[in-house]
Amino acid sequence: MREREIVHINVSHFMAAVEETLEPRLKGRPCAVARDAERAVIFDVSEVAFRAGLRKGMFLRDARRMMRDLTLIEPKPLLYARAQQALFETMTQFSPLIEQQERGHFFIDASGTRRLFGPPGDLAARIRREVKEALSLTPSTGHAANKLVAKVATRVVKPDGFASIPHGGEASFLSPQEVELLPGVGPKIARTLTSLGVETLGTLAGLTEGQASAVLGRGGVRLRLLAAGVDDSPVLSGAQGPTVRVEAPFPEDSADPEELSRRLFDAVEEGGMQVRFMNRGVCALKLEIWYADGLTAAGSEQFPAPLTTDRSLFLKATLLAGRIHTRRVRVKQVAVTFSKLSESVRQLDLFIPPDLEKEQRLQEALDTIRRKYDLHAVRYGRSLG
Amino acid sequence: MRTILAATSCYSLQYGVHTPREWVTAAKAAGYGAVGIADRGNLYGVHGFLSACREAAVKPLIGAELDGILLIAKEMTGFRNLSRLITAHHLKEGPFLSLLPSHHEGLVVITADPEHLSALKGAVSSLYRRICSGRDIVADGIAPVVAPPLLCRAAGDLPVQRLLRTIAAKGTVAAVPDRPASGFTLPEYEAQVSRLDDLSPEGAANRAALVAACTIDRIDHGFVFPRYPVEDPDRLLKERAYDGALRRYGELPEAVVLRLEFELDVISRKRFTDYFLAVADIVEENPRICGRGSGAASIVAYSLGITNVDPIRHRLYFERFLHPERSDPPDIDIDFAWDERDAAIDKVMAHFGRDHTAMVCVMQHYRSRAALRETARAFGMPDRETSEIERKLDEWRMQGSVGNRPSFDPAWENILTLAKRITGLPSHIGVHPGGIVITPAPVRDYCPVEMAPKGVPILQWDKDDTEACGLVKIDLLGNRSLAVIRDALADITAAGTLHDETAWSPLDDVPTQELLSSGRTMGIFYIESPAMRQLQEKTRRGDFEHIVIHSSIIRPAANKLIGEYIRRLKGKGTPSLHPVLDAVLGETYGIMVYQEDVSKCAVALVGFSEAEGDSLRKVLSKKDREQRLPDFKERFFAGARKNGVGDEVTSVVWDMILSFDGYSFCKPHSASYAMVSFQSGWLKAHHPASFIAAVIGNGGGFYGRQAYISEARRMGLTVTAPEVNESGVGWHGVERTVRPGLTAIGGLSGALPAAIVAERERGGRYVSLDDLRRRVALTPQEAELLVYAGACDALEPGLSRPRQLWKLVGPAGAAQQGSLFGAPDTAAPEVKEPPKQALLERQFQILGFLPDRHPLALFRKELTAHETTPAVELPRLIGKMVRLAGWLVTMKPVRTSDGKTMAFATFEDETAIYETVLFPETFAKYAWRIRGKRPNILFGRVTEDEGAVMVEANKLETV
Repeated sequence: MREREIVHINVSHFMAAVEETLEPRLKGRPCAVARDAERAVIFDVSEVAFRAGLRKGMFLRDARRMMRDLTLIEPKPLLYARAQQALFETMTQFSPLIEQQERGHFFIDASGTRRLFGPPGDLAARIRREVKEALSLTPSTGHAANKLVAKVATRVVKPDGFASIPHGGEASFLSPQEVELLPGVGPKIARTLTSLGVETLGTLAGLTEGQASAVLGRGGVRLRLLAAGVDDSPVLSGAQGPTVRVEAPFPEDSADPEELSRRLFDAVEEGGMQVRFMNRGVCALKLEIWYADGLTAAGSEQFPAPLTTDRSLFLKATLLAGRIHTRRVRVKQVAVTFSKLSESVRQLDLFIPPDLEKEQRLQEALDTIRRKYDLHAVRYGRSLG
Repeated sequence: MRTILAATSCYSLQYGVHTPREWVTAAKAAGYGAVGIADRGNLYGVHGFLSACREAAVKPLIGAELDGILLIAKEMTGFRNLSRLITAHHLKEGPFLSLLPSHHEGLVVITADPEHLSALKGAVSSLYRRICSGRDIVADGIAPVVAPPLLCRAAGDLPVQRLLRTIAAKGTVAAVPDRPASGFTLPEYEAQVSRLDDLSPEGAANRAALVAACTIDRIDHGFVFPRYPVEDPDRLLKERAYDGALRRYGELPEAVVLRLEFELDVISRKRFTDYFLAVADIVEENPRICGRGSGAASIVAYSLGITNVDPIRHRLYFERFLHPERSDPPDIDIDFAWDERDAAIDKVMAHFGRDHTAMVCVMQHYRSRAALRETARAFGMPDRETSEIERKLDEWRMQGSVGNRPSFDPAWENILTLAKRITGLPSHIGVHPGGIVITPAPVRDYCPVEMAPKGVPILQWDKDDTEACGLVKIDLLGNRSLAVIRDALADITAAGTLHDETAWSPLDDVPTQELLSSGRTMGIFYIESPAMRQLQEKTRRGDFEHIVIHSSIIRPAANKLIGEYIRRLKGKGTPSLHPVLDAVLGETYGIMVYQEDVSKCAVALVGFSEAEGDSLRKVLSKKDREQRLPDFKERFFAGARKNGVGDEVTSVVWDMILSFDGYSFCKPHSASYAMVSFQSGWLKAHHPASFIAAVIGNGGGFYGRQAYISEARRMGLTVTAPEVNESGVGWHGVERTVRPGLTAIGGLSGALPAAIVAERERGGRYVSLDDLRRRVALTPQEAELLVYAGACDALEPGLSRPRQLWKLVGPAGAAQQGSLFGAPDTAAPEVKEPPKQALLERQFQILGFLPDRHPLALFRKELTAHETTPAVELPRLIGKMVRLAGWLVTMKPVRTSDGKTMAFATFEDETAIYETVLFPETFAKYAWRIRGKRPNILFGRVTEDEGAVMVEANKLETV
């Protein structure tokens, strides 16, 4: 296999970080992005607040009890969307192979760019610098021969450090790290490993295949390889199968089915437009629901033919929500992920039903207006409620 | 007469908002002369409804709604049919419509459903079409009656009703319609009725006629108990009583014969013979019981094996049980070992037939906590948040509810308001722990029966309602200590010690008496609470007569009396109040101890009749005592004056009478309990390891498991970890070692402990971890739990727990192969041994206790900084201020006379158990900080009273 160069960029606490760039006096202060409401849920926290134990998804009033001098920032969804876009564009100058994960997370495949940009370690540093210059954001940055090691590297240097792991140095870098840092090791597996006396990635990597599979099951063999720094998963850029994921936090948690429906529509609308801008249709939908007590529910569905209009996507999302939303607890966020984005969008079918035809034309009209102004220039009544 | 034909009460569970009494009051106020309650499929509230109607002089209509059909009972035949129909409906005995034609006598049948109407037309005599909207007025030969459904009093009640429906649907309020499909508020109902009456004068007239036809105002079945199936039950009872007396006493002294004859005569005249024979049959097959209640005073009961205390030797008087002048039903409660109780009840049901037996129900009501929780859930609040709100409210209440209640955001304020509205409403019907009713005709002829989820038939009435209408209830209850005694005896028998229970007389055993008198009574039935242990320590009495007194004097409202009792016992009390009292209360040092002392004193001192004295005693434990006591007090003082007793003496006596507020015992009951105390005391004195193991194995008693493990250690016993080669399934004692059962390992699958023991018994001890692995199928999780509980430590001594685990879950077969090829450790990688502290924490997490040390040891590092005094030194530090480490054992909050809260809390450290008192100021400031399963640091002064040491805490910290 050709030698790969992967850069992982992670802007920790993305919303708060973006806010800090606009309002430098916020830097170094405990901040929370949330609405100013009785039962407001925190969208994001700043690094200082994070270190004090505050987390996104917490209730604002609990956070305020923990930190009396917490600064409140009104959420600005459009701003974060633009920042994300700008971040993405900064990176496209270095490689066409960019995988967007959540906001502020990117994998960049920089293989074969040595001639253009010099040694990849330098390139990684340069990307970090450019992000800093263009956007005043300081991402934690990892460079390594694969996604896994690059990601562990950013976890190690969080929140804003830099690490470049030389080829062949993966194992010695990973070896002393705690097993919890490895993607795929959740609290349950970590506990099993501790019981077995396996506390570092080095020990985990040193297990024989037989040992690993005996104590961790089938996944054990894979974990052992990951712990040794072996990972050949590709960077999935837009062309190879991107996903569009939109989180729609509730200003306040709610048990009202109408509110859930509104937020779901928000998410579908935002995601739907992104998909249509790429000139694609949605073949797979994933829905996540965050409850006020921290538990989540998730479900997904695939469609034989791609869906493109907000109406059709919303209908599917609503049905899916009906299946997975079984608890009585208030909801504080929904997230919609569109994947399996297919190429063909506009069905030039003679037999297209007139209703659908009408719906598509309406959708196009809406999108045109939105493209010209912004996402919230035209809205369906239901999302205003 | 203005009439409400059928209102919905709160006994339509999770639907109705008002109690029947509230409906009666509201209807009366609105000028109605007759009120009907018809709940969905039940008559839960009928007794309360009837008594409310009697008090308000409103005519009651007894009804119920089944499958949308309204049924109203005209007279008792109708009531019986209603009861049968409700029962058949609950027991799913067939389509309701097909049952109605055979059960319609005495019933009015009203429905709006056209299909039902056409099906029933001609088949039932009093059939009416229900007119609710006006569109339903049809001329088809079926008599109409105007009767729109009445849901609640006012529009303000509708949100509460919506909440109840939400709770029933387990949904959220926003997703539930704001009104049900039908049902009016009272103003709407009035408007609707007046409109419909105009539209259908016939429907109005029928309503009036129907009300006139209904005549039930009370349900009283008379004394209901089946005949014993022999020709002459009296003779049989006499024979069995004499046979039993011969077994109990050997020869029969004259006193015994006289007493037997007297009792048999009263029993026969009161027609309780059948009852005694039936109860004797119930206990015959399972003699490990404790018969108690006032029935324990009966020599007939003693002879029949229903009770175990000799009423002659211990001076228990039969008149307390069945007084010739009184007419109340006999009261005998029988305790079985808690795990044998259900089988005993099944036997009774099988014997008398399931149609003729049923358990009494317990109507469960929303208490404030459950109300808040359910309401919060209906509004989608996470439980964790509710706990937080509760904690804040508790804190505020603990501090004496001073100032305003803490306020919350509007969503929570709304929840709190609504929760308050549903507090006290019935939530569901449960099974009484032991009350069973046996009837000659099928039970459903007297009261509707339904099926409890666990599959037993239950009455729709609770014990008071059941008894009030004449059904006789027998209480068969569960008692953990009887199981403790059984298991401890089995343990010592298994170890080869012979034990003859028939010749067992723990009452006269000196080591037992000494143990009881020392107050080291943890684990011993009924006398193990901190208050009781302190009383023992202070009085130093361990003989049966005193234990009987002590079991009775420790009761909620008698705190003040106890000090006086101790002083008198020690010869330093105040002089006698009155010679009459000296005579009546001689054996209890002039202090009222037993329930019957109330009536005894009332009779002797102020000239009450037996019956009057008895009702005074009963009033003290009734809910409405506040209203009824003043009248008694007046008569009491007047009677005393007439007998020349001064008011000061009378007030002291009256105060003593008030100390029976809340629960209290009669002497026969206390004596029955004391007998069980002595049996368990004997076991603790002679076979401590087996005893403690049995206490823990039966789920503990007054205290949690940790407290008994600490007690075992204080007694010099060794507690081990559960071990695969040594432990049984449950807990056992071997000589001076307490061995936890494998079930003590939390999280093992239910069958695994038994599988490990069975395989060991089949194939011998496990010789290595490989051997264990080969012979017992373990999941990785189970292996982990066994290893970290310490259950495998002894198999390969010296091997660290991670390496033990590798041997159990590592690659299969590698170990055996490896040893063949001389490389024994290839199955396990080089892994580090976790620090000792981490191992202990893990073990504590799995077992909930540490075998070889107190859990405070887990916090040694944090504790050393606090420089605490070991509790074992407290007796030498009287009057000094100390700082102590404390693991909470138990805490009992108490209300002071001025309404503040204080508490008695028991703590232990690694050296001793000790008692503390938190006076109101300390309590308000620190009580909410006290944590269980965490060390607390206490500051306070060491005090001593009559030989018992206590710390008056004035400051607390958590570590």
